[in-house]
Amino acid sequence: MTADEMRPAIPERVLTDRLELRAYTESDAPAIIEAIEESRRELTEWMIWAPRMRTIDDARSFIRQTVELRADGADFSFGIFLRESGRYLGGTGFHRPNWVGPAIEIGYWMRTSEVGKGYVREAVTGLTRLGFGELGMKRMVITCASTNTRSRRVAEAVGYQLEGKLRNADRLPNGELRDTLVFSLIDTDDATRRILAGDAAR
Amino acid sequence: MGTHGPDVPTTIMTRRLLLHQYRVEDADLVMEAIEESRPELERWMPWAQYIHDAAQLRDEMPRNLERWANGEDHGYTIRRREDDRFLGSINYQNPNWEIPAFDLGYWMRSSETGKGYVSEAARALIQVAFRDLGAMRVQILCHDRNQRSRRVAEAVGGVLEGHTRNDSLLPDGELCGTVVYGLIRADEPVQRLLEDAPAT
Repeated sequence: MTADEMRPAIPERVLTDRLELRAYTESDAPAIIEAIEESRRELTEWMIWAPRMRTIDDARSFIRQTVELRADGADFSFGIFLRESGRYLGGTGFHRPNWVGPAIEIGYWMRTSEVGKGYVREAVTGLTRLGFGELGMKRMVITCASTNTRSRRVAEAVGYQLEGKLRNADRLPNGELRDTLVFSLIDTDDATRRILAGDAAR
Repeated sequence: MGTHGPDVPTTIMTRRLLLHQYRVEDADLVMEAIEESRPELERWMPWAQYIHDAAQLRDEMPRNLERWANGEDHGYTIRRREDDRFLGSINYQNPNWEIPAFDLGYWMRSSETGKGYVSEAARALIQVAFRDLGAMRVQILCHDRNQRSRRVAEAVGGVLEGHTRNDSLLPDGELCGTVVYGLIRADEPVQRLLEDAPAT
């Protein structure tokens, strides 16, 4: 089988207890910019894309890009929305798929006014369950700057294991070199089994 | 990105070895070494099973030169200076010029392993990377079960930074992990290489 034939179909919508994760549509652009503006100080510290997202047009072209990347099977962004109210909370997604493992990465950010409520943890748990369940992943990865304590805590809370710290592996948006932490779960980990059984921390 | 390729030297001399940018006229010698080493190469190297004659190597040359010029991959033949014998090859792979950071990849013909040639070539590439190419990081990735490759990474002073699981498919279809050896400028083995006289 070629890698293409092994490629699982990734859904455009994922529900968890409190959240709806779904592919972006153009009408999400104003909500995205509002959330980014509110969180600009924190995002600018870690996210290389933050300076490029200023206007509703920037958000529209980002959304069009996510649609193309999804169609190409290259990258799968999801907006995180509160099911109860439809409020936009932040972004997550499957990135850098390697279909021959298969393996995939998860990324995330949360608007500043909504951090500390366990939403990212819930979204990551949901995507992890989907990945090892329906999608048949053998490996799922989270990477973050070694100094990004909040991001690191999400990975640890969901049960991801620290595999390594790669020195000088990337640069922060301000140009400084950073060390990158690599976390993963593989299909046979206890934490993976717990998440698949549905009794993981929500 | 395309501006960096020309900064990478096309020849590097070490005590026993001459490293030279791959050339079309190397194809027959490389093919002979691949055939001699086929069982070992096919165990670890996904490309080996697809290479069966020198014409394939010659056909790839224009693309190799383009990748060199673009700063995307820099492959060297390793020859013994004493008798000009072709021993194997070593590459700067996946350069990230924003850091800058480089991966090293290498293989040695089966009849010449165990003589320290790969370590000697790798030290030279590490020295050039940090001294001439502005590297802030060099890394060597090995399949976790490839002990011979790991010994090279350890011999040149690579720091075992991580062991990633289930991320690498061997040519026989088996899923295995990867060990990551990193070197940064502040590491003592790098400092020693930088204090050494240029590798001539």
